[in-house]
Amino acid sequence: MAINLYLVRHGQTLFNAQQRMQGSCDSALTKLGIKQAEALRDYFKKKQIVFDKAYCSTQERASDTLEIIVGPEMDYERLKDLKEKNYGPFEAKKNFWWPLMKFRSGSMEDNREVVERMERGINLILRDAKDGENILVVGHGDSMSRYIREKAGNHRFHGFHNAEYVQLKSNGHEVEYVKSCWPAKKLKIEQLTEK
Amino acid sequence: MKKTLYLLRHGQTYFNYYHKVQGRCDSPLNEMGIRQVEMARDYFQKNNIHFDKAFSSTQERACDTLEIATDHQMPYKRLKDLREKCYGIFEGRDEFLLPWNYNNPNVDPTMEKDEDVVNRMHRAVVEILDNINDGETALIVGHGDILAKYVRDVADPNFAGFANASIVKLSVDGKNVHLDKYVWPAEGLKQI
Repeated sequence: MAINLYLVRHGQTLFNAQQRMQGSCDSALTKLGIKQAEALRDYFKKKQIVFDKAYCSTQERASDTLEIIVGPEMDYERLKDLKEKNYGPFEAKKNFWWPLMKFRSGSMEDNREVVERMERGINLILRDAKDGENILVVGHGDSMSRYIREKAGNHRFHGFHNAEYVQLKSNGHEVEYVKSCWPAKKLKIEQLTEK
Repeated sequence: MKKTLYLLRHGQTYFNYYHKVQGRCDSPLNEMGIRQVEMARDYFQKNNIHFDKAFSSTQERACDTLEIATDHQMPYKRLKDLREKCYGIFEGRDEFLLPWNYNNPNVDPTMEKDEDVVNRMHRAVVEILDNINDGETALIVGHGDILAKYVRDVADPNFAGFANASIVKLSVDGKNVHLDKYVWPAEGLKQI
């Protein structure tokens, strides 16, 4: 059994651009974020990668990114387990508060819990997958990175840029890191010249 | 023959509680919010109110509210037109910064215009009415500002507004929209 999972991080959002921590809260894709998702869509078309199934987290930045990639006609399933880590009291706060996160947890989600529920979500997807399928999974930087480091055998995984993807292959039970790719990379510079 | 619409505003969220401007941005329902929506669900069940179709905005606080209110029993359609007004640069920031909260009549150009908000809601309602037959009932889960503006536009210009997880029942007969009642099942609930 060989299944191809394509884990995609959503495109840039307002809070990303404002450098604010975005976990269980959500904000809309920026113009750049939309272009990034479109670049990814065009890349998959060019490489003739067609998705048999599509999943995303229940958060709108993920479903919006997914709809840009596969188009409005494809059905998809939203899974709560794929959500971003909940940063508790730090939600929507500017990134410079980040260092304080080591000292206060409060209602912030525990890292182990994040990985456990990501695994639950991915296992649900694998359970329903058929041999040879290409499956799109649109999620979030922190939760997906932690999952990849713990469960896909890539302990040094560098993390996701907006609209970057990681390809994993699975035998139906375990997952293995294959590669990462960021088709929208050059878009970052174009933003500076766009109104 | 008439169609019935139940408008339900989402339950209290983290941003509601901390008085952060929550329009196009989103935060999860907190414990109180979940409890409020459960009370709305109980109200529907106790009064034998059944929905033929259910619709919600694409924002997660609305989807979560719908799922709780229908006891996770109904499939539903998410509509972008049902989203809350966009407050532009004020999104996610403290509510006291909003101009109308300190008697500033200026409208920031990054904010969505009120007439655009109302037009969106009209578009959504037309689509929803097209999707139900005469005599049927639809549940529409959305957001305080857009729903209130819509109610004021079509039924009652003096409508006060929607509390978290409060309900408005509308009867639609052709072009006529009538506000039957406003109910807030969670009214007596103390802040959790």
